[in-house]
Order: sequence, then structure tokens, then C-alpha cells
Amino acid sequence: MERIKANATEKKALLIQGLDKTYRSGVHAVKGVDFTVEEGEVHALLGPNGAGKTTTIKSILGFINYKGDIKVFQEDIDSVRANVAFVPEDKSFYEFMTPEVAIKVCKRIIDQFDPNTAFEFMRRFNLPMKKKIKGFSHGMKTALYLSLCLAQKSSLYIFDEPTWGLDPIRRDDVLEIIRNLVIDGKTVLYTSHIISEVEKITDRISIMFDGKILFSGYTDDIKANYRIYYLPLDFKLPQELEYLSAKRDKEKLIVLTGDETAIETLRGEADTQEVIPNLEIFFQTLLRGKNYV
Amino acid sequence: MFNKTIMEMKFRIIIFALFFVLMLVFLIVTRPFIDEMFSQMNIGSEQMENLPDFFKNILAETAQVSKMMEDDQYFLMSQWYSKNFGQFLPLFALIMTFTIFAREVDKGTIYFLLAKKNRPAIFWGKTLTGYFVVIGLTVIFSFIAPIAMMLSGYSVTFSPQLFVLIVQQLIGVTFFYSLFLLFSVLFNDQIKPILVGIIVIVGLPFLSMFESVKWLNPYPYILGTQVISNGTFDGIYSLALMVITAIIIWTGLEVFKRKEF
Repeated sequence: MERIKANATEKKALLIQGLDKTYRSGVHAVKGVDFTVEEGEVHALLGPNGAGKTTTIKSILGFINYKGDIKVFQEDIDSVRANVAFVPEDKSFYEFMTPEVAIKVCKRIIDQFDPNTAFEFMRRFNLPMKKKIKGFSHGMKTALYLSLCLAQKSSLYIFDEPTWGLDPIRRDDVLEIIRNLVIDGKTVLYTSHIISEVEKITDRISIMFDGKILFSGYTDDIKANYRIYYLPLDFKLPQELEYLSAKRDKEKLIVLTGDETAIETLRGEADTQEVIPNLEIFFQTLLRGKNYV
Repeated sequence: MFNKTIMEMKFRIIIFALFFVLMLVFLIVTRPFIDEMFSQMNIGSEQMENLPDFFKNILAETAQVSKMMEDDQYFLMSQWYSKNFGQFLPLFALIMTFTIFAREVDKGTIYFLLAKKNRPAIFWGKTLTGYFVVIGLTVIFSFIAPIAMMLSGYSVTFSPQLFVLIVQQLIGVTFFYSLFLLFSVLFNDQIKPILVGIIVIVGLPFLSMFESVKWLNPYPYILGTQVISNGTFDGIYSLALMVITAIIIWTGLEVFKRKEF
């Protein structure tokens, strides 16, 4: 996706410095994470299960205690909460309500909530307005939560697995809606397991693994600046060069690098196969090879 | 927040309101039979002389109660405030309160609230709404009982003694509300707060068995034992309960502000 330069201002919607979280159980979920989300971009936080994505989001929203510094629009979250909309991983809503009642309740609870927008989204998702939420499928609950979240006039939208349980058509609708938020000047932080959908809408990604950020950068830059090399198994990697990841599988040595000197060097080797990575391959190569760097 | 919390409590409000109404109707309907029952327990002085001393004491007490039961005002205070309605107040407070926070955490809906409002706003919104319901129903059924007795032709008045009894019950129910609310904040599921609450309700009367700690049992205060027998307001106990209630609510707020979800 082509980056819209006009939206890429220097203002930070989200600034995270030295975020560290150890749960009482002893699990060290996030280990000194730093990253920023610029205003007017879709930033995807990617990683396998247990990477620390949800813990990071919970920290941003103040659901858990943490070490480090988090600023949302240069403020503490409690000062700007009305300006942040959130869809959690668990889309549980009050099951005794119908969507109609949910809209009325949200109007009373949420500042800057537009009931008409909520109705429009619910109609678009074909939600039965008079049926109790208790009888909804996972996909319908996700659609309901998204409708209520999108009806909140906010500057920052945080979505944790927003397309979970949705059918492909609704999923595409949601991706389009998220993309339109940014066109309207909003900022989106987004997590997903489905890399192909992330590639469609994100400006920038941060890849987490084992509580750390392994990579943070623009999606456009991945194709432009990074290369994957398939080298003979017995090839000795020059130690002075920089690699993002390297792994020996049964037949090849697979190296991911964005370092210009490394690219020049490896490109000139015999029996080398060079691949321009898409996000899916980049993500997989980075995670599979990270232990061998 | 107010409407949502009321909607969540609606079913329990209806059930308890119906229960209290039925209990009140039953009390008024059986009023004449209570008199009769006590009068039948009185026996003549000749028969009394042949009985053992301990039995004489029991019968003397029964005769005294029987005499007092003839008074409608005494009947109302002892049978409604001190027994039926009064005894159910802690359980009523528990059933209305235990879900206030615990259900939101248990069902995962707490994230919806936490994302929209700051924690003190959520705490006070839910706490005050729950309190409004609990204290509202307590006040309604405290005042409906004498009115219903009056309308049924019994000589009952809103005496100062009755008001003192009602004030003590309101302070008592507020104490129980704060305690059960704290359990609801502390636990992440709905089973533990109700289980611990029941243990408290059942366990407190046992404290009366030990002289040194019997003051910890608030039931005699809530049921107005001293008010009915002496007509006096227990000011020190009232003040102590109010201070403890304030401390418990403050603790609940601080726990909720720091809790991880």
C-alpha cells in the first residue's frame, strides 16, 4: 500500500518508552518495549500468540500496572480516554441487551457517541436489532462491538483482533472501514494474526516476539529495502555484516537483511537465490530465524 | 452507568420486592392469630404452682411477651423490623451487591467500561447506583409496613422509637452493602463473593457466643433489640458502623483503582 505522505505528521498519537510488564504469576510478558504510533497512520502490532501484544494494549489503556512511560497524545491515558476508542480481543458485551438497547446505553455512557452511526454500521453488518446479544454468534458479537466502537468520535482507535470470527465479506468491510478512518484523519493501532489483511491496510508494523519488538518500520519499506537470501547450507555468513535473521533449514541457509552492504555481498555469491519479501514471508522469516542470528 | 446497572439488577429488584410484599401481607393476615396463639400459652395460677422453676420462668416470659404482643406497635417493631424484614436485610444486600463488579470481570464486559471511563467514575457510578437500589427498597419497605398496618385498621404510629429503629436498619444495611461491595471488587468471579458473603451472614451471629467479641456481631443493632426494649438509639455503635462503612468503601475504591484486568 502506498504511504500517504500528507498524513505522516511528526505528531505522535502514542509514545511508548521502556514498557515492561511482569505478571504476578512470574510471566515476563513485555520486556522493555519502545515504539511510537504517528498521528494519521494505521500501525499494526504483529506477533505470534504470547508475544505480548495484548499486554501492550492493556498497558496503553491502563488496564494493568506496568513499568515504563506511555503517552497518548502527549498525555496520560486517563486525561484523553474519551478520545480513544477500543475493541478488545474478547468481544463480550452485555448479553441481556439487544443492539437497540446497547446503542441507548452507549449514548449515556460514552462521550461523543453518535447513535446514527452505530445504527448505520449495524445495518451494514445485518445485525438483528431486536434480538438479544446472548443469541449472537462470535462474528455477530464482533460486528456489534465494532459498530459501537466506530460510533464513538475518537482520534485514536485501538483494535485487538478486530476481524476475529467475521466472514470474508464482513472482514473486507471492516478493513475498508479501518482504512477510511485514517483517510478521515484518525489514528489506528491494530493487532491481527492474519498477515494478509494487515498488509492491505497498514502503514507501519511492529513485530513482537517474546515480549520484545523485533522489527518496526513501514510496510512499503519492506519490499523496497529488505531481501531474503537462500544460500548453500555450508555458506559462512560474514560476521561484520548485519542480518535481521538467519536460519539453517534442511537444504538452505535463509538470511533476512536490510543492510545495504550485506545485500551487495550476498547478491554476488554463487548459488544464491534472492527474494523480495511480502509481509507474510518477511514476518515468517523474521520469526523463524531470530534464534540463529 | 445508572440505567445499565439498574437494568442488570432489574430481575433481582422485582423478586425481592415481591418477596417483601408477600412477607408483609402474610404478617398482617396472621396478626390476629399471633395474639390468639400467645393467649393460649397462658395457664392458670394453680397449674403454675405445680411446675418446675425453670418452666415457670419461661411461662412468665411468654406471658410478658403475650401482653406486649397485644400492642400493635410492639407487634410491628418486633415482627417486621426485628424479625421478618430485618433478618433478610443482610441477604438482600448480598444478592443485590455481589454481581456489581464481579459479573463485569467474570463476563469480560469490564473492558468496555474501563476503555470509556476512568476508574473512580466507574466505581462511584456503580457503587452509588447499587446503593440507591438497596437503600431505596429498604426505605420503601420500612415505611410501607406501618402504612399497611394502619390501612388494615391496626393502631400503629410513626413514633420516634420507630424512626430510630429504621435509622439503625439503614445504617446496618449500608454497612453490609459496603462489605459485600468490597467482596465484589476483590474477586474476579461471581461464586466467591456470594460464598464469602453467605459465610459472613451465617458466621456473624456465632460471635455473640463469645463475650469479648460479641460486639462484632451487628445483628442485635440492625434488628433494634435495644431500641425495642429500652427505646434508646445506640449512638456509639451507629458512629462506629458508619466509620467502618466509610473505610470499607474507601478500601474498595483503592483496590479497584489499582486492580489489574
